[in-house]
Amino acid sequence: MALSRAGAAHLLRRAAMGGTTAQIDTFVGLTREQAVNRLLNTSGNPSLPGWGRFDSGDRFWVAHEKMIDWWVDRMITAPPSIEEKLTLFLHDHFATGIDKVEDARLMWDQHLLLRQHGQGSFRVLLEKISLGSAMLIYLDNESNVKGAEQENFARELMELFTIGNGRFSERDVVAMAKAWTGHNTVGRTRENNWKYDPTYVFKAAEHNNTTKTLFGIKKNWNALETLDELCFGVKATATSDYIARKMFQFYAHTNPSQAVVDQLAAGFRNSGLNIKELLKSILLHPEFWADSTRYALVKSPVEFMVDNMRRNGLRSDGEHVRWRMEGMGMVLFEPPNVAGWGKNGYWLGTARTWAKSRWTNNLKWGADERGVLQNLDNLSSDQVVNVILTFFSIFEVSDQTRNNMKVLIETTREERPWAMAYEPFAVGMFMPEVQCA
Amino acid sequence: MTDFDFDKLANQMERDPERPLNLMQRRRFLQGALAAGGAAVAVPTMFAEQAAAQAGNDTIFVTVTLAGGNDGLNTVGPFSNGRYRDLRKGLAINPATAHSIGDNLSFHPSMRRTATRYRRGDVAIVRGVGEPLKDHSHFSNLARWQSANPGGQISGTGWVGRWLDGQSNSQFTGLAIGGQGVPLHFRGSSAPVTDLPRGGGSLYGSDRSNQIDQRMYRAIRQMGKESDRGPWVNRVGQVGAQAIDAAQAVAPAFKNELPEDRLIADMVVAARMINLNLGTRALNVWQSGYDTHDNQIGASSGVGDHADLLGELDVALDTFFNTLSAPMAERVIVMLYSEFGRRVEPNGSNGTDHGTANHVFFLGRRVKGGLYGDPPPLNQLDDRGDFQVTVDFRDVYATVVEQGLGGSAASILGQGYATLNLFGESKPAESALSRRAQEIRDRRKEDADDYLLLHTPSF
Repeated sequence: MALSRAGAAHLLRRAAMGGTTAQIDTFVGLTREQAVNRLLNTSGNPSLPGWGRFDSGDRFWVAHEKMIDWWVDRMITAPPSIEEKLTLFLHDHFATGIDKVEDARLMWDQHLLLRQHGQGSFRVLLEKISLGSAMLIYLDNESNVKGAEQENFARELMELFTIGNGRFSERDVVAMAKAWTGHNTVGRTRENNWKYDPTYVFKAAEHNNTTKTLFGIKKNWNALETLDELCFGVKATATSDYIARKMFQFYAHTNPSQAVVDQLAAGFRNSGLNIKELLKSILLHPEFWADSTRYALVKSPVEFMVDNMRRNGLRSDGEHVRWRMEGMGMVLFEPPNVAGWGKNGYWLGTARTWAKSRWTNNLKWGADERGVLQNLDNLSSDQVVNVILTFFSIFEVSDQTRNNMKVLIETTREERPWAMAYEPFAVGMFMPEVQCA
Repeated sequence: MTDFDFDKLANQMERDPERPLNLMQRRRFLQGALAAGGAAVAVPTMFAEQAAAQAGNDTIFVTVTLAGGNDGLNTVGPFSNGRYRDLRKGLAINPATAHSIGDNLSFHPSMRRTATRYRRGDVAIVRGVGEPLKDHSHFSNLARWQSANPGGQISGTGWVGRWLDGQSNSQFTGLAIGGQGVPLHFRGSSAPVTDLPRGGGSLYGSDRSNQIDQRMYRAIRQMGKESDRGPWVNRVGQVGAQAIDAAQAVAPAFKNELPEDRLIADMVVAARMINLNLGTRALNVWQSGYDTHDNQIGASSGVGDHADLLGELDVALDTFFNTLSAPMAERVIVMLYSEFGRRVEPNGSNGTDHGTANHVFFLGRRVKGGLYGDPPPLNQLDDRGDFQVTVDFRDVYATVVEQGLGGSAASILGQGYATLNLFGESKPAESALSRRAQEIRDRRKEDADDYLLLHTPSF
């Protein structure tokens, strides 16, 4: 089935970080499979900057802002592919916040892991993230030692990263915490003049080397064996179910039937938990393309800003992205807690709407200089509506939205013709279709 | 609360270099100064006072959600008790620095102001509150506390939201403060709760002076009309319209400068919104950061993450009551709650893991001050070393609904529950003189236990 503009726009909104109408048009006419494969096989800009680009000494919040700006610019400028959206999904899944880690370098290292391993084995990625310094600090496993176990990481590893709540017991939490003892950071040592060293290290003397009962299995569990059990052992079904559901909800819609999840989870297990294979199955699933799936997600602030900045020819420079995103409720590298950001209703509220409209209303003043909507004078109102919808790449639109825009254009023309360059643009960013994905 | 003290912070860094400043502190340290302290805010206008006096007498209910699991045992506890000291080890609070309230209990050293309020008879502490725990997850426990259904079922609506459903459909009856969306316990099936941003900034829709803007407002409002566009397109449109409608009415709450500290600013916004007298009956404010798996306590029990959080809370509550107009202050009941308490014994990271039963606090002139609920005994912990629950949190909510807000607990909570006798008529207002005397007494100790109230929320 050849893709229409509407279908191509839907695919880019969901699988990638959106796209301009010109970019969307390069996907029109491809089959679904061809279009999906193109996104799967296009790598973003292959070169990633070294840490030096962000290094700001101890001022991690300065580096943090540079990292946000860099990532947003990359999301705007990279050719449409799965890489940026998938990295965002994984950042949300393995939510880690610089507000606790307080070291931008460690957040950057984690970010690189998401890119290097995000399209491969979930088991490998899980291990890399778990033993990464950012996670060791964020969920306190840095100080989980024999005889004084602490459960923060152990619990969230199961509840949020792999199998989901209700699929483990409190006894499993105790055993899991013990299994992860000694997997710490170097910490403060005399040799290093008591300066904190965040490097991962296994301290054998701090490891609880006893028999523990985890998931009903009695043995001397150590950390990596628990990951194998979660991914490929007795919890394989639970993990594949949890990850498949979560990913489907992020990419398609929030209410998949159990049958849909079961099918995706089985494929995920058969692939050895290959993340890219799971994503491909989701993007080719009939439900992904269903009419009811269109606009069934609310764009997160990052998606909303990136898509509209690209359309307007804007980059992070001068846009105060961190500050804007904070008002809208989403600061990259700083999720609200270990559960990450929410979906749909989470993004809706008057406070976030005001923050959003502060930005969109500000954008309108440069709209005519940027030439985003030009030469409208000789067009009918219906034609102007089409120009606006095309500008925002909205190819499926409700009659209500279309009519509202038409009324606005007619009254603006009559009462204040010179405002045609920015008023319909400003209201256009408020079209619900523009705010949904 | 005095203005930001640069020297004091520099001094703290010098004395305690091991303890890193949090993100907010560092940022502010560099910026040099805090714009406004907690006390210097929001004098309600005479107009608001008069309007409030005519506004009726309905209770105004404020929930402060202490997210992450507050350590109730160290908030108000038997700090001299031998068993407590044995179990809590290095995390035990030094009773000499705590604020005794009788019954062998004391408030945490950071909570001087709330302890004073307790002694005035304006604070109730319900002990042992929770439900038999299904798990120790933040997210499901908070959702169960907020959903408040029989059997702990999690739902898409919460208990305050279901109460709001039965009130007027004004979008100011329920307010969520802090710019983090509407929390689950404030979500109803139809109640249009408005959530307010953190800090100020222009509110799009508030400036009605310009004819040009009116046209755009009208168009955006039209986008919110219900149609067959699919549920989320509809919701997005509705919220856009709601923001335009609400902007003008709430803008005055942001007009005067706000303190920089997040929680204090949020509490000031809450008080100002109440003073605006828009018919608000329920408000929620968040304070995050209570998930003290590590660094719970510093070099002494008066410092550390938990001390910072409680100190911030203490000042924020005081600032809130001081910002309220007198007639409104008579009507307000504040509830402090958390998704669970913390384990009695510390973990190995100078912190505590997730626990069970916890205190729920009520503050206000309508509160019958004192202790409620059986304290879970320290020598009868469950097999995980956690407290046994003695009071179902739905009993507490039923009390709020029936004695505080007014309504049928059974219809809101799905069944009837026992109630406690927590609320009554407002006590006679204390004289200005006695209040002033108390303030002077309080201030003398200020230097001793006032400290930096800066904190970045995160679990």
